[in-house]
Amino acid sequence: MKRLNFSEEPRDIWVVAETHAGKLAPLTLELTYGARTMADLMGFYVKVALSGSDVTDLASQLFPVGADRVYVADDPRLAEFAVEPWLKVLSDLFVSQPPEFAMLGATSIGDALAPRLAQRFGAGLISRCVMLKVDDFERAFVGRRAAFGGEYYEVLTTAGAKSHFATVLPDTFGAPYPDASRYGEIESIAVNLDGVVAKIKTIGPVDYALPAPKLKNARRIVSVGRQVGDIDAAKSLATKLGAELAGAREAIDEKYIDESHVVGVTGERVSADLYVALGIRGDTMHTYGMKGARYVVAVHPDPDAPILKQADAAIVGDPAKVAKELIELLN
Amino acid sequence: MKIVVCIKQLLDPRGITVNRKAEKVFVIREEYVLDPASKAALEVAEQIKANAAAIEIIALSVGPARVDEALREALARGADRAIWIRSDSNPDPKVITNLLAAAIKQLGPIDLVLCGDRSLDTGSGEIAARLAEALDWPQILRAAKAEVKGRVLAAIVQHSGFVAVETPLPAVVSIIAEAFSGQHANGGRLMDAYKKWQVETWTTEDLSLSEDDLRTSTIKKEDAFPPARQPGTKVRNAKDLVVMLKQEKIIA
Ligand SMILES: Cc1cc2nc3c(=O)[nH]c(=O)nc-3n(C[C@H](O)[C@H](O)[C@H](O)COP(=O)(O)OP(=O)(O)OC[C@H]3O[C@@H](n4cnc5c(N)ncnc54)[C@H](O)[C@@H]3O)c2cc1C
Ligand SMILES: Nc1ncnc2c1ncn2[C@@H]1O[C@H](COP(=O)(O)O)[C@@H](O)[C@H]1O
Repeated sequence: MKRLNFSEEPRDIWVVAETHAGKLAPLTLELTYGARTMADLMGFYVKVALSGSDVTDLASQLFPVGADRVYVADDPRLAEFAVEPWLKVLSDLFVSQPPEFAMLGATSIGDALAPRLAQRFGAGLISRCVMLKVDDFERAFVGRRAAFGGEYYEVLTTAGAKSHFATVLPDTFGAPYPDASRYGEIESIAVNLDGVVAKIKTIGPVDYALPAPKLKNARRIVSVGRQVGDIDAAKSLATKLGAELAGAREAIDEKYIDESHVVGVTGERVSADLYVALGIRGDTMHTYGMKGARYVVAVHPDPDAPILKQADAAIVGDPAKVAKELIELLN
Repeated sequence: MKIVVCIKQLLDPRGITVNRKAEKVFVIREEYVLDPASKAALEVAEQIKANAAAIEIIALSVGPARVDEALREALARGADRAIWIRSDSNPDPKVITNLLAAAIKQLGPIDLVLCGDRSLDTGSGEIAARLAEALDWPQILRAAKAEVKGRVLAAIVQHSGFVAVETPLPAVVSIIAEAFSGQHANGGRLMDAYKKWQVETWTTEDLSLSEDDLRTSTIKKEDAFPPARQPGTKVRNAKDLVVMLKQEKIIA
């Protein structure tokens, strides 16, 4: 492979675009806008690599959100995403125009391409950023990534690397403010896919059940901990609400639930509309799994139980008694 | 046929607490466990072995001496060989990949490499795709299941369902943590893993790598914290709760 020459400063921030159903992905517009903000700070250009089939007409939509130049690889063989051809196109582009900074979406496409590009070009890479900035002193990316499912963040830097890549989750930069007066250039690039074979063949949709899918998809959950008091009251409430019964890990010891019904770090991450936690203290190991729930009700006898601070509605009291009252009220 | 499973050891989440107010992660008990996604990868390897003859599973882990424990658990979970790739510095995904790839090349023809898709703690989710690049193999990411029938056939997560894909061997496949069944390691094998079997040790000197291969390109600066959570609304009793749930349109 041709060696990259980083002695001549590139002074660009690149965005790798994605399209869906003939439209630019909203995340691509957001990243281009984020790149613009960074580029203005650094005195850089924003360049976008747009690959696909029949995508040339979309390029001009990138100017109002901040692109200075869009490189378009428009080829029927790029109609569907496949690792090898896309990698070849981007790699050829980045060999001819070494990027100092490049952003991809933290999507299945970005997750497949960014690590390979970073490995190939020896770039620093911060994956799945929820915050991303350029450090203008170090000339590097500084990004935040969730640790332990978002309990806290790790702040990472690519300082010292010769080029800087990141994949970015939606809502990191916020909705773009388009500026209709902005303009830019479109350059179509020659696509050379000689000898490149897409090695993954898609066969089609399959039915597959993960070991414990029921809880994950449940719309309502009644979840019990050691302090539930009366498990039968909790079970009746679950029946009344049409909810799945689940619990904290400690509830297994009490034989309230089995291994497949634990919510938390070592169990399921749920996304129910209603999560009723009865007698669960709310250790972070547990609350990790409940964060995706829309509305959390917690009942615990101890006013200092951490779960009461995280619930949307918190009752200090006897969980079984509250459960029985709820059943009465719902009848 | 030979399958390599890359396993990561991480700080037991039960041993840490995060104090958002103090903006600090407190390590109460420094204990380490096998990353759930790595466990899922081991389980897939074991399933492949159960359905085919003459398969050797080799577990690899990069890290300090403590990863010995993770490797012995891998032996208990069906691995035939376990290799500790010694690294006392703080390797980033690039360096971990270079070490793993060098070991895989040295192990001679390997047919399949399995990784976790993303580890639980501060997972980069980069290792599988980076390995595919380093080995110049195809990659299948986010698989819940994988089978080998001359080629590798996998069910990958796409949108809200699963899609079957296949690729020729050799290949790298990453397995999602959710695929893990929750099965405990076999007790008898766990005893053997400590008493009878060995963990091999390889150092960076055993792997022909350049200084550049071992230089990190992404480093951790610090931790950051989301604002302390807003306390929820205190509700006096079940009656008020029902009113609130109706207001929020959660119950009719
Ligand atoms: C590796 C690991 C993974 C974990 N993963 C999860 C997970 O995925 N989901 C999850 O919910 N939890 C998990 N836990 C457990 C978690 O840390 C908490 O212990 C649990 O959530 C608390 O449940 P609780 O609120 O019902 O118990 P609590 O009522 O808070 O009790 C917690 C602890 O207090 C003591 N205790 C309290 N009351 C009594 C009593 N009446 N008798 C005796 N002892 C008592 C016990 O030591 C008990 O373990 C995990 C723990 C470990 C070690
Ligand atoms: N130090 C390591 N040694 C061996 N395998 C690793 C190591 N770190 C990560 N992996 C593999 O890469 C997967 C994803 O890890 P991560 O990049 O931390 O999300 C893990 O599940 C392991 O399979």
